[in-house]
Amino acid sequence: MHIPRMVRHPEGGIRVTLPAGERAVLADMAQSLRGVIAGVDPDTPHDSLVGRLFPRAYDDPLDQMEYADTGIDLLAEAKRTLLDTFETSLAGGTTRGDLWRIDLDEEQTAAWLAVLQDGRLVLAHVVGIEAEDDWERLLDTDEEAALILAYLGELLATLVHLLEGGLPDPG
Amino acid sequence: MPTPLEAPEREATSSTETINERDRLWNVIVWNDPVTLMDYVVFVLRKLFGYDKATATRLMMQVHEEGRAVVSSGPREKAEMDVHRLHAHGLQATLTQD
Repeated sequence: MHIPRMVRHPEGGIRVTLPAGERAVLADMAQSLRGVIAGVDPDTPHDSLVGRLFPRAYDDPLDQMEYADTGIDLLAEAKRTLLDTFETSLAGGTTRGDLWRIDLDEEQTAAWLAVLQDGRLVLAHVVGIEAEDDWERLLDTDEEAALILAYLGELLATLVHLLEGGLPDPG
Repeated sequence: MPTPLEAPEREATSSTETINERDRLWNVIVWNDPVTLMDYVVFVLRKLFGYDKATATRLMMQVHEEGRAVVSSGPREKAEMDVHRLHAHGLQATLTQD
């Protein structure tokens, strides 16, 4: 029987159902992200990996330094909070056989959205995705990374699809 | 280990120049990247700025095809907050003055 990984829960929120192996992939991703976020420091230039999660706000070096004084710490705190929420939800839920299930509330859903996006950014950076053409090369050079990126992308796309129906459309 | 940055000297400006400078609008720009999903960009623009789907999709396509798009404008403080929220959602965004 096919069980969808994400569906809208009848009582609100998103129901996630994943095999244990996929839950473990997400836990690994979260751990990697935490390491990247721990490497951020507003007073020192970022390496390119940290810069992927903490992009410049200004081209002007002085404006950027003024912004980074408070902006980087705020962003790091926001990302840590999202990651905490994501990891707490991963540790919760119920397990039946090989399947893990959790019903995400609104705050948890927002955390999943942001953490899945950041996880894809970091992994893609690590395996050298810098242009659209690099995706094709990745399939030949690192099939496992390509599969994980595709998997994370599928989860994120599903979540976006489920959530966009809840957005107001003023047009 | 990276060397701490030292702030460069900025030339002094008169108070009138400073006020005029700060009054000018700042544009928030989202940049293309080869990883972020198109539907994700549309969703974030709708969520953060309240755009309808058609407008958010047009802006996303501009980012995809031209490499960048202005997604909001306003006073510096608001533009910085918009950039912060876009960064929190994993999008590459900067602000620049008109």
